[in-house]
Amino acid sequence: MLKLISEWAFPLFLGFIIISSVIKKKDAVSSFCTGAKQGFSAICSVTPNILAIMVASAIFRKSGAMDFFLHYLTPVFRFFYIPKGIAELILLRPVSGSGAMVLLSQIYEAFGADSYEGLLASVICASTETTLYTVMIYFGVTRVKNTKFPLLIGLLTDFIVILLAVAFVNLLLAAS
Amino acid sequence: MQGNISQMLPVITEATGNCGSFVLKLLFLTSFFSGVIQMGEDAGLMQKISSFLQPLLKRIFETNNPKILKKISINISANLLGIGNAATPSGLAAMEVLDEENNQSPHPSDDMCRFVLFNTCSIQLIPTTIMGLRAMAGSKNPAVIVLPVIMVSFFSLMTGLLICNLLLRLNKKRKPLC
Repeated sequence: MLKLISEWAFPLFLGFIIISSVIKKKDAVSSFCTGAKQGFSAICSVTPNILAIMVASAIFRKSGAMDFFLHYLTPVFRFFYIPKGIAELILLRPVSGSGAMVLLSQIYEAFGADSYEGLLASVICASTETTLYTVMIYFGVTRVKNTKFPLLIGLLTDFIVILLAVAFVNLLLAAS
Repeated sequence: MQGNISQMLPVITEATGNCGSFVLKLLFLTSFFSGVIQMGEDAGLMQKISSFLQPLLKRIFETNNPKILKKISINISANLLGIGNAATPSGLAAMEVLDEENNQSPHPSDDMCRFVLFNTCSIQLIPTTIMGLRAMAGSKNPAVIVLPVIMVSFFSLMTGLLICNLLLRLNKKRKPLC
């Protein structure tokens, strides 16, 4: 049942969009092209960010700095049942969206997309946002100077996501 | 310190090489899904969801200003559908009106905190990019994460709002914390 919902969600979503586009008599192809062009330029504009993160994280890892930090962080992560392999992702996720995508695909390569690490990383990435960036730009258009409270709540909620993700991945996906 | 300083250049060239293939992967995947989502947006899907959401949002937010509620609901429905480039402009517009209602005070209003929380929690219903990346990484079942993601997003947002409201109420009884 759970599997059925998950599997059908995307095909239904896709079908629903196409059908509603046809019913409303919209030009589906030109809509698609407009959106695709926007998506294309969005990725092009974050390519330098992706490059910077990829090089920085490779150096961070290969130089041994990662191991140095992990040595101290692993007991904390173990306390919350978070596997060591996704520690770096959790630290980077609130700060950089493209960086998190890079680490996510590296986790898939290292452990496999259907491994426990892969599933957990997928759920965490999909359920959190680039909290720091979001708070910054949303309050950037206001006169509000004091953003400590919203930032704190945002990061706390990100942490709740991690705990819930561990619980739900174990509950729903560990058996399959 | 670890004695592998000589490997720095090879590590950099390897990482830049990987960057090319990763960006290519992401480039066409994202453009495809942006295209699909744009079709839905042009068909008025976002307005539908937004008018459905408004009565619900009235219970969460304190404001009675229909203009603000409309902007908030458009932002939230864009987020639910995963339309990043529609979510941000409507979100910023909502923040601007909330700022007016807050008399442009340097302290965030309660509704601002709640609204930003909606945006720092990812409430996207179908995580298309991540499913695509999973499929490209050879997952047997890329979609298996959909249900856990919806449940985790929902419960985390509810817990976050609950904690937020609780802290805001405590904050009002004492002198303002921040």
